[in-house]
Parts: sequence; structure tokens; C-alpha cells
Amino acid sequence: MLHAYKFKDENIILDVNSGCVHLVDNVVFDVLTKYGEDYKASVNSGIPREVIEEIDELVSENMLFTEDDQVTKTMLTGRDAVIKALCLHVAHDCNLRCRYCFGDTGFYFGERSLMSLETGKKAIDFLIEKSGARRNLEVDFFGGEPLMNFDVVKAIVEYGDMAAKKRGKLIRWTMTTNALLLDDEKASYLNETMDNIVLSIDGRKEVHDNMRPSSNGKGSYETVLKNIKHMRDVRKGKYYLRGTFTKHNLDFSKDVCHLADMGFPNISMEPVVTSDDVDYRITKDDLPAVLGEYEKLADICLDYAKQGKQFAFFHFNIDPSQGPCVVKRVSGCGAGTEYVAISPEGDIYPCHQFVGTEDFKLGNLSDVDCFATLAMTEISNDCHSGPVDACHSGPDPESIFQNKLYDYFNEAHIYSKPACMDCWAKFYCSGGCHANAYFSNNDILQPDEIACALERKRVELALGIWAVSEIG
Amino acid sequence: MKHIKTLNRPVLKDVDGKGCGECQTSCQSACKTSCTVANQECESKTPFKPIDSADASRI
Repeated sequence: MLHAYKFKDENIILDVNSGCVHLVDNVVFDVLTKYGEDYKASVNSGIPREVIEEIDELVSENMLFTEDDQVTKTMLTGRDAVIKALCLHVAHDCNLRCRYCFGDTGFYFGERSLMSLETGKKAIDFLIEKSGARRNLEVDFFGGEPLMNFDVVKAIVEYGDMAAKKRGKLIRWTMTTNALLLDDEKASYLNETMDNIVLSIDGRKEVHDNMRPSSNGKGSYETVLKNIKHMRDVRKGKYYLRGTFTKHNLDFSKDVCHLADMGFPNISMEPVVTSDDVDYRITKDDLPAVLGEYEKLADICLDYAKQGKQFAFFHFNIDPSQGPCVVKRVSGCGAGTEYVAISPEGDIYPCHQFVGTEDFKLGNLSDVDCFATLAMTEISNDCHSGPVDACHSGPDPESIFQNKLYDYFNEAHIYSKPACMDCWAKFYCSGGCHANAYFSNNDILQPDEIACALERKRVELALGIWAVSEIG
Repeated sequence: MKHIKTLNRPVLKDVDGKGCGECQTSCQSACKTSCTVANQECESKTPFKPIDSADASRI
């Protein structure tokens, strides 16, 4: 499968299944787009033989028209059932009242609550116990607003670092915060302990304040900006600014520039994810405007690079010469299999987006034995004769994370999603967000159509920017 | 080649020793800003890092 398109003055051919990116002249572009795999027939239309020979060479080297045969379903379903990442909802409470919040302004459709240290420690124990042989683990402090439970965050990090070290593992800590409580002390602490920090701000003051008022109804922009500027000045490692755009600011490239021009080098701006009944929802009718804004952002990235300005738009950070392996790209985000979210009460869900949705509750930290029981059942089902202990030579069931929805999520890879099978961007998005698919189409195997359109555009532009920068 | 310039090797065809699972989780949801799996890192290769304060200008 090929994807052929134009970016600036370049003709780009992406060989989807190998990941090879080729820049071609107009003759080759026309041959490949008109004739496809039957390109040799183009000689009858007067195409020079040397063109055919160049295409032949790439085909013979498995760099053009390659087959999608490198990953088998067995490779995907036979993976170890272990967890390597937690989203810890340390606070189901928030000091903002964002109008578009998927988490019910921090409450997740339940009671206001903060995670106790005891529950946090249980979560860490659970992660380490169920991580099998994985060494690198991740914990993201999330909410609500995690800084509303700052003392517990600190105690969990202290406990987790010690617990991981004892087992020869490494926990990478991250936090997603609205920055409203990010004073000097907290900024210093986050700088020292967090592998990555995601700071939420929507861009221009009027845009931000419209959608992200404080709990007292006033705008939060001034305080947030002051705090993230301080974070910028002290930060030694990774951090991102992350904003949301809605129908009310379809000119969101201006919001990105607003932040970039203040010296924030890594920026993400995401489309709002919401229900059908709100006036700020992005609809199909908005697609031309949104796609146009992404094109503007690509121009801005190229222009800023020429000017020597530090700026990277998150979705354009793709390097086709490296990145994760194909197995990872095929298998997706790992929600419900290697990644789970934990509520302040210790309830376990496949990911943060499903928190509060009862059908997706996998269990509670107070009853983790149920996962070992399920693991034993699974092993037993795989052994058609003899006692379980005699046939099982794999990992200890106690270290396996088998859950009631494990197969449901584990099998939700791109080869199970009809819309992904023939999509050229499948190795770049991994089938998209399960939760987005579920809440849009009531089916995790049916990706959200609008999200797909946006992703395809972003990947096209990302590959184009990379290609242009490669040839100088 | 005169008509075609190839910019990278076929990185997606190699599966030997791949899928170790040590890489970062790649949440695809919009709220986590981790959406595009292709910009994640492989733990066994030189990481593709976002800009930090010490980096020079780049895209």
C-alpha cells in the first residue's frame, strides 16, 4: 500500500508497510498514482524505461509495495499479561470548572474525593507486583487536579522509588496539572522528580478564560501563565504545554503561536472530546477549517525553524527513521492490558477515560487476588490435560494482570478494526483512542471518524516537515 | 537514482527481538497529549526527544 501526496514543492510517497518515505519527481508520482502496482504498464504511454527500473529496484529491496505481513495475530495475542503504567487519580476534585471537562469538572460523576496515601501505596504495590519482568514502569499523577493532593503525591513518589528499587525496577513519574497551584515549592519538587510534566493552558487569554474558569467563576489565565512561566524558567527536563481547541477557536494556530512566542518550546493543542449536545463541539462541518489550521501550523513550524526559534508542535514530532517498533505500533495504547487507571477509592479501570463508567470497572485494589484467580483460569484453559502446575512453565500467576476485559482490549489492535485495515496512517496512530471510539460509536473497534481525519492530516504534515528538513 | 530520493530505511519490517514492551505507554487520548504513537521512543534505540532547555532550535 502506498500513500502519495504533495507537500510544498515535494511529491511524497509513503510505502505504508515498510515505513519508507520517498521523494519523487513528477514523472514517478504520476506513474505510481495512476498505475499503482501495475506501474510497468506505463511504458506503453511513453514513460522512460529508467523510471521503471528505479521503481523496480525499490520493490526488489522491499521499500515499495511491501506486504503487510510482518506482524501476526499470534504475536499480538501471545504477549505477557503485565502492567507497566498507571494513571493515578489522586484527586477527584478540581479548582477549575472547565466547560469541556470529560471528568465532570473533576468529580468523574461521583463524590469529591482525594486518594489516601494507603491507597496510593497499594497502587504502587499492585503495579510492581503485576509488572512481571518489565523494568521500566510509569505513573502519571492525574485528576481532577493532582496538586490538590500534593502531600500524598510526594509520599507516593518516595514510597514508589524505594519499592521499585528493591525489585530492580524504575518508575518514571509524570504529572498532568492545570498549574493553578504550581507555586515555587511545587515547581521545584516537580522539576526534581517528574520525568515529564504536562501543563494545561488553552492559548490566548480570552480563549482560555472562556473555557477554563476557576471554581469561583473568574478566569484562570493570569495565574496559570505566571506559574507556567516560572516552571519554564526552572525546568531542566521535558515538559509540554497542552491546550484544547473547540468550535469557538477554530483559529487555534493563533493560540499555539501565542504560547510559542512566549518561549514555550513544546506545545500540543488538541480537539475537544465531548458529547453531541454542546455548542463548542467539533463537527464534520468544521473539518475544512481545522485541517486548514494544521496546514498553517506546518508553515509556522518551518518558518520558526528558519528563524532559529525553539518550537515543536507535538503532533509533528515524527521521525520515520526511528521510533517504536512495529509490534508496538500495531498493538495500540495498552489500555486494559498494560495500562490502567485507578480512582481515589482504588477502583481499577482500563484507562482514565473510562473511570466512572461502571461496565468498565475491572476491580478494586482491596481485592487484587481476583486477578491472580483469573490468570490461573486462563492458564488452566490453555492446558487441556493434567494439573495446572504441571503444564504451566510461564510467569507466576500472581505477577500476571488478567482481568475480565483483558481479551476485549488485547484484541483491539489495528487488524481487528475494519476502518484501520485499509488506512495508510495505521502505523502512526495505532488505531486511535479506544475510549474515543467507544464514546463515539459504542464500539472500541470503530474509531471516531473525525479523530481519524485529523490524525491523517497531522501525520501527512509531520512526514512532510520531516522530509523537507531532511533535504535541507 | 535520478527520479527518486529515499529518505529512510524500511524501519517497520524488522520484527526480530521487537515487542519487548519496555517502551513508554502511548496513550492515544486527546487529554494526555500522547496521541501519536509514532513519536514515542524505543527503549533500545537513541530516543527521539522533545526540546528541553539545553537543545538548539529544531522542528
